[in-house]
Amino acid sequence: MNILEVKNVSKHFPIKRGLFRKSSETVQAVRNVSFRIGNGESYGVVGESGSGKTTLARVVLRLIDPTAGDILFEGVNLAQLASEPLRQLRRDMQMIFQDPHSSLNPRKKILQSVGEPLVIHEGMRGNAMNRRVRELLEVVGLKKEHMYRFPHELSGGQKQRVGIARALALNPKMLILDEPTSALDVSVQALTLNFLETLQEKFSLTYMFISHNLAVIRYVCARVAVMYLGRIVEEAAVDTLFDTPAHPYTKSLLSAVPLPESQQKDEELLLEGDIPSPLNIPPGCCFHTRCPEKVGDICHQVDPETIRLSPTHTTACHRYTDR
Amino acid sequence: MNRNATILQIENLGIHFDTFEGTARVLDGVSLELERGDTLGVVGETGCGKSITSKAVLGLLPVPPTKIVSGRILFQGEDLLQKSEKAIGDIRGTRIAMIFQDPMTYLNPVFSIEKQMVDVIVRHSRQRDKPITRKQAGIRAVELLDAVQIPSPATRIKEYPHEFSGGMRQRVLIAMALSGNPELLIADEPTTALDVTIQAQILRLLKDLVKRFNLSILLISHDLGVVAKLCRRIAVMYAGNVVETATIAQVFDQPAHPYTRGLLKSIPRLSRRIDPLVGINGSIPSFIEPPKGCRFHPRCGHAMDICRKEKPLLEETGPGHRTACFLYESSWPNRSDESQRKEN
Repeated sequence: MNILEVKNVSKHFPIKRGLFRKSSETVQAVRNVSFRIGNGESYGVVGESGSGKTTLARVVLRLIDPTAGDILFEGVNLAQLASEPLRQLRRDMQMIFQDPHSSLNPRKKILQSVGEPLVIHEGMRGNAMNRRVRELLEVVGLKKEHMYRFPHELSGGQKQRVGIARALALNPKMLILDEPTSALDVSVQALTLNFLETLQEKFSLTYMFISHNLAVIRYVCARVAVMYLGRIVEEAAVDTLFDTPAHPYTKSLLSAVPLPESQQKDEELLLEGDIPSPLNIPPGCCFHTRCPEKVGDICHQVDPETIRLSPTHTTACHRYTDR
Repeated sequence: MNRNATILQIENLGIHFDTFEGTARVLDGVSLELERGDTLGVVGETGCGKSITSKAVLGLLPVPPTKIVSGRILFQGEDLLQKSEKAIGDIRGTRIAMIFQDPMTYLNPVFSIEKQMVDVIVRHSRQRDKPITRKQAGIRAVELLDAVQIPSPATRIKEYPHEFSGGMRQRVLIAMALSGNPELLIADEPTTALDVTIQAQILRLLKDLVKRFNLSILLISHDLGVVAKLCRRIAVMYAGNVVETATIAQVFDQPAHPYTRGLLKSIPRLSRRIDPLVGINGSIPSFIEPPKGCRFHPRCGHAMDICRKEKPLLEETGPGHRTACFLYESSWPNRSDESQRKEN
């Protein structure tokens, strides 16, 4: 049973320039992306900056409208939904942001921050709200005295837990986590990742986990999509993707990660050049400008289709077209 | 030339900041040693004092609020802390160069790369008493951009910082750092703002430059992977102390300090899904009222009575491997005391 199904979603941002704000160019942030997330699954999205992973998360929540495509959440198409039913549906999908500090209002006590969704969606007030906030803080491992503190009185890890408590307030079915541990130190990151895992079991949550950190994705997720310039270039079960990557970009990405180990890799696949601008996506395969394994002219001319290598492994690369 | 091969030696460096709430004891007797041509990585989490240490070397800490309360920073045998502002200024950028985390902050957006590089090169040539003309400096600038592998440097040098990508900007800053022919390069999180594929390019470049220019590098990073890639030795800092220092292999394969062990067990691995990550409970202590004794004891699973009372010394626990922890006898402040205690 899939909780989320994203079909051929694209998001383009027009750039408006000049006196009459004519749109001259478009940033193609997300290009024709499709994936499904099963109920209770942890689905990872990795990519470098500008790959469109955060835009994808925002489109999935319909915080921004997609340019094209459908987003089915439990069979309901969010892309077509009117604002009131969408507001109701948002209770089931919540987002956790990268920077726990800027996602909390510095003038509000933790009680108010965590209680806000309860006020808005459930009309809770007073003692009932206090009790529920206390429960939520307990779930995320904070104490009741934290309720009356301000964000600046908490550490980074504690603030991230407040963000999680707030996201849990309405008993969501799915959490979209956008780089949830990138602002934390590794010792705190480890605790947070473990905590997210227990939380998932306890409340049978579905995670869409966005990160640039491949090792974190490997630790948390069951299936992974790799994005490059707005496209999913490869998708597979986590072990398949990390142990036998198919797409040349995935291979180079894995090879580029410096390992905290005494034995260093001798051979590394070093990518030349920079990521092209999403304003000006190369024709053909978007990766051909940096690809070390080009098969020929076709890479410059034709954007590769997504090919199924196995029931759970897909990639968009001409190397596999003939199979 | 110096008799010993040590290029930088920091001894018992203590730094306090005067703050509104009291005196923050941010460095509590830091000792580090870097040999000529060697690469030392200083790692630690937020607030451990790694950047403060590197800034102290270059005299970049504002006084006040900074107070240097103890220690020496010996650069080729000369104590940098005793030098005048002018003398430090002549060393900074020429004999010791620095690159930082965010390359855009250190480039002026309204001047071309050429103008900025030529300014720097001309100044460095004066500091070295070998002044050159702006024209000569321009030629040198193109050479340097070529050395950091910027394609078609002669045309790109006319461009402005916004026309360069993040990785290219960092290359420009590395070129500027090299322009003074430094003996020591301090790199403070040089790749943290970059994507992983670009980070790999910059690390490869730094590695090549170490060989080519016989550089010594002091690398500051929170990423143990980056340090393992570039450095031969490593120093682990926690709350203003160096808690362990050894070669990369020693630290990764036989970590001695409980903090180092906790850190290594906190890092998710790419190669395999290891046992559950452990993490370290608690958070870094206040610097205004740091814990007595070993500053790690409130978070340490092995804390003993003495850890709460006395500060462990950074002493040899293996060949070339130094650790500041009472789990190892050599760290005890006074060994005769300890034997008495055992008898009691």
